[in-house]
Amino acid sequence: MPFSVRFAAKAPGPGTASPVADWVPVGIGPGVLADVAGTAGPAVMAGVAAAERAALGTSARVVAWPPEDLGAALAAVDAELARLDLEASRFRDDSELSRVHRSRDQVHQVSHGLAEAIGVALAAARWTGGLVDPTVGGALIALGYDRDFADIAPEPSDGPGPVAGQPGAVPGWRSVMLEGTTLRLPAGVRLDLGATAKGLGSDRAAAAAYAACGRAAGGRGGILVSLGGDIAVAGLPPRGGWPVAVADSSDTGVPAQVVRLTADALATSSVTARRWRRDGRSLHHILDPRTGWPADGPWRTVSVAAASCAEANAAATAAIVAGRDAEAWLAATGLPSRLVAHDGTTRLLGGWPDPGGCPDLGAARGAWSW
Amino acid sequence: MDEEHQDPAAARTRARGLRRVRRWSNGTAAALIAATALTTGYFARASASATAATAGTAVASGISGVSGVSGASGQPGAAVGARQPCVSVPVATSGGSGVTRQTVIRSCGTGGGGSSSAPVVITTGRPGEGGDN
Repeated sequence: MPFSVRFAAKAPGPGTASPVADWVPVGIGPGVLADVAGTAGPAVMAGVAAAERAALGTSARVVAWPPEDLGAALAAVDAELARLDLEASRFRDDSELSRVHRSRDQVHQVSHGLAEAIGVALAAARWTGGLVDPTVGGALIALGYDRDFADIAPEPSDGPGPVAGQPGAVPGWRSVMLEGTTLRLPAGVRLDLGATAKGLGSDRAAAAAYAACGRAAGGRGGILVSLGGDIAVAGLPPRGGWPVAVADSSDTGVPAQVVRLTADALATSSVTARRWRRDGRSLHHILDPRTGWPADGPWRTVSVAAASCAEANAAATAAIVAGRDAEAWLAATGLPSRLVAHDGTTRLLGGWPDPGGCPDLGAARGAWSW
Repeated sequence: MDEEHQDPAAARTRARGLRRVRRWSNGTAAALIAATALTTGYFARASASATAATAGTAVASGISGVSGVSGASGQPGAAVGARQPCVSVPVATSGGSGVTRQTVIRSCGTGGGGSSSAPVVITTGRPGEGGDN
């Protein structure tokens, strides 16, 4: 049974929201330019408006309909992303998580928001049997992933770097205890919430944006939030669903599958991006907690649709780590999944639609009726 | 017959009968009103559902060539209206951190040279699901 995520979107607090002006309009398709203001132009013709900005070490995209909702949605998403960053980033000295890491205490009273983020990470660890584990932070640091990925030199010419053959230790998620907002973290354990935090952020942001637009009161409209490709939607989708390209490469020569998401969430984990080299060894950001090294299974990209983006995010990452056991593990969850192997072969599970033309959805729908 | 000339016993009997008829009549009227309201509500809901189902089928057939869209959970109403947009190009890419690209697509049945496959529908709603931890 997948874990559930219960989260509460918060109203923007003073000083937490970054300027909406950071967002840039996004063109959707040829000749269709989304207008942030949503007052005129092609965005109104398309019926949706979209904008994008850098956030949390990746890109954030918000799509809204009706287009005039975009402004309120962006403000709400700004607030949620700022909150999550201040709570759970291990790359910011002023984040709450960094303060916990610096503290000599082993018992901490944390905010409700950080407690939620850690709680979701621990729930994911429990659900996946430890395939995803928030205590990989120390091992990631040992491998050189100790700052925003954009700041990591692909192959440093100096500095210690990791010692080949000696991965960082992974203490294991069971060493972390969370009771309400009381966190017990053994000395030296470094948390990395990367397997769930982006998904949680998308969940929070989509819910907050939807509420900010007043749609929760019964109005008609919909929101899509993507954080680095981890997508959550809220409200009513466009007719037929939100079209989303599922791709495991930025190379347009590699085919993408386009799916339509009518509700909930979709997330993808991949080892094709966020790679770097140390000591001549090619590394990536998805660690196998059992070894402390980057996962080296047969799958390079896994996409999963689930009821929440945190759940989809965790499942996709767990499948990468599970390696040859990924198919069995994902099949047991029943979640629609798409796996791409290093040789490019694709495996579809749990009713994920066949990319070949128009699918016989009726046959697959049974698998989705949980 | 003039009431003034009835004997008292007959008048009391008549009054009791009238009260009984009025009560019965009032109860019947209330029941009729309630039944009418229930029936109206039922048909209103049925009509809305039928409208939504018809619209959903038509949309799905036009966009992705499938026979219906189901299972959208947590949505504020299923009715499809004129303002609900139809988007025929991907609005986002799910490809893992760092993978970003836009892909132009075509609807099923339009043919012709798109760089990707036709859109299909993923439905993840799980009616009645309850969380466990």
